[in-house]
Amino acid sequence: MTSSFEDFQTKFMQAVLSDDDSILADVKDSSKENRRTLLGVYRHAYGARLEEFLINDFPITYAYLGEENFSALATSYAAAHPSDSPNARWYGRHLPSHATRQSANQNNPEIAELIALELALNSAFDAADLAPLGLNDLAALPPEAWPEMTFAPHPSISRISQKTNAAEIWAALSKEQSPPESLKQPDPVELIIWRGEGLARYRPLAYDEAMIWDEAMKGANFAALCEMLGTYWPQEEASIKAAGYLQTWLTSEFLIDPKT
Amino acid sequence: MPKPTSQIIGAPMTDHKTTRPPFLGFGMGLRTEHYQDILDGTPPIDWFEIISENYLIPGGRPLQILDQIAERYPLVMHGVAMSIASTQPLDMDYLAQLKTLAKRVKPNWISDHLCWTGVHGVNLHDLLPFPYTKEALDHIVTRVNKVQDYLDAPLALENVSTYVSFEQSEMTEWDFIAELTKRTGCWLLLDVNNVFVSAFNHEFDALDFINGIPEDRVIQFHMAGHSDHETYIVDTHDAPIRDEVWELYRACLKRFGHVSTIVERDDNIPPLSEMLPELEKIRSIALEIHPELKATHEVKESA
Repeated sequence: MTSSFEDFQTKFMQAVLSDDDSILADVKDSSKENRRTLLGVYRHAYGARLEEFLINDFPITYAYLGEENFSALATSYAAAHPSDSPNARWYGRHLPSHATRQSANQNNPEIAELIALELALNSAFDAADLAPLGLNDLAALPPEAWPEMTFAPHPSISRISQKTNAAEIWAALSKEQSPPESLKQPDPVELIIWRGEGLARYRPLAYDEAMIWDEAMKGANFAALCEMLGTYWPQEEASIKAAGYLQTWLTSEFLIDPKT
Repeated sequence: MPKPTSQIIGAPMTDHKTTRPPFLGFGMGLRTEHYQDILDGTPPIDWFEIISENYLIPGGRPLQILDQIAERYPLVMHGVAMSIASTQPLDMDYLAQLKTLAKRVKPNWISDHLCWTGVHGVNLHDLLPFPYTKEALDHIVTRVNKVQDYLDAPLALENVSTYVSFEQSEMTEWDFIAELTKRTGCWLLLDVNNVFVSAFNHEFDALDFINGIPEDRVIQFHMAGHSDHETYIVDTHDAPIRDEVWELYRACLKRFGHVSTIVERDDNIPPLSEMLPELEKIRSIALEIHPELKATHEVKESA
C-alpha cells in the first residue's frame, strides 16, 4: 500500500511529465496567479532543463541542426529516455542510438554519427585517470618478450566506424566554419577518440592500423599483429609498420598496463 | 587566510551535529568559467562552494583543477541530487560517490536541498516542492538521520524556492524546517533569495520565515538573483542580487550572526571580475553588522 506522500509525488511527477492535471486539486491558487500557471513553472522548467543538458553536451550537433531541429530532437529524446541518473552528466548517453532510430534522421545518417562522435569526446574528457604506458615501459621489456606482448586501452579510448563525413562536419563547426555538405563515404571512416594533455581528441586511423588496433583490443599479441599486417605488406615491412604504430599508440597515451 | 582544517577527515570522533563547522568568510560558487582566473591570480575570495555532481565523474581535467583549488581554498560540497524528500529509497550509489569525493576534497560540510527530484526511478532534475505535513516530516527525518550517519560529515539542507503551495500542508515551511533540524541535528543553508522568492509567491512575510528558523543552526547563506514574472518570481540565479534581498540579508546577519556566505550564479555567468563587487558588498554589509570580523575578514588593499 502506498503512502499519501508517495501518492502525492507520483501525481506531481505525472503532472510534470504529461498533461495529467490531477495534482491541481492539491495545489492552491495565489491571490496573484492561478494554480495551473504556477504548476506550469515546473512543467516548463523540466523540458527546458533537459534540453539545456543536451545543448551543453552536444554543442556541435546543436550548431549543425539549429535551434528548432535540435529542440525537436531533445523533446523526442526526453519522451523516450526520461533521466534515470542523479547526475545530468549521463543524461545524453542514449542520444546516438535515439537519433539513429528516429525516422526523421534516416536520410541524414551524419546526424547520429555526429552525436556519436561528440559523446565519445565527452566520455574521453572525464574518463578515469590511469597511468598510460610510455616508450620507456616498452624499452624496459626484453626483446624476447615482444612477440607475446598484449595490449589494453586507456579508459579514455573509444573506437567508432562511420559511414559519413561527420568528423569533417565536426571539425568545421568546432572552428565555427561552415560545415561541408554531408556525404556518404565509399569506405568506412575509422576513428579513434582519446584524451591527450587533458583534452578530448580524435583522429582517423589508416585501414591497417584500425585492423590491428581492434585485434589488439581483442587480445591479439604483438606477433599476431605483425602477422596480420603481413597480409598487406611484405613481412619485414610489416614488423616495422607494427613497431611504428605501437610507438604512436604509446606516445599518444593510448595504452595502459594490461595487468592494471 | 589559512585554510581551516576540515572536520570530516581525520576526526572520526567529531559529532557533526553538535560541533558547529567553522566560519569560512565570504566566497563564491565555483564555476568552470572562472577556473583560469582563480588559478592564475589571488582574487579576494575566502572559499568556494562546488556543485558536487560536476565532479562525480571518473577523472580528467575537472578533477585535476578541483584538486588544485582544494589545495588553496576551503571548500564546501553542494549537491542537487540527494532527493532527501523523495519517497523512493535513498540512492546509496550516489551517496557513495559523494563520500568518495568528500575524501578527496575534504569539504567543511556537505549540503543539498530540502526537496525531492523524482520517484519511480525517474529524475526530473528539479528541486520539487511538497506539502508540509507530519507524514513528510517523519519521512524526511528518517532519511536525514541515515544520510548523516552514512556520510559522517556535517550535513546542511537548503530551503528551496517554490512556486506552488498545497492544500495538505499542516504547518509553515519555517516550522517544518525548525522541527527538522531539531529532530535530526542537521545544519541549515539559508538561501536568502529563496526566502524572498517563496515569500512573494506564497504571500507570507519573509521576516516571519527568518525569525522562525532556529538562530543557532544556520551555517551558510546563499545570495543570488531571480526573475520577476509580475505575478510570481522564479529563482533563476542568472541576475544580480535585488535590493529587497540585500535588505533580507541584513536581517539574516542580525539574527544568525557569523555565517559563511557565497554569491551563487548558475546561469548568464559574468567574468569573475564582474562578480567580485557583489561579493565585496556581501562582505562589507557583514563587517558593518559584525565589526568584530574586520580583523580577520577585511580585504586589505594591496600596495
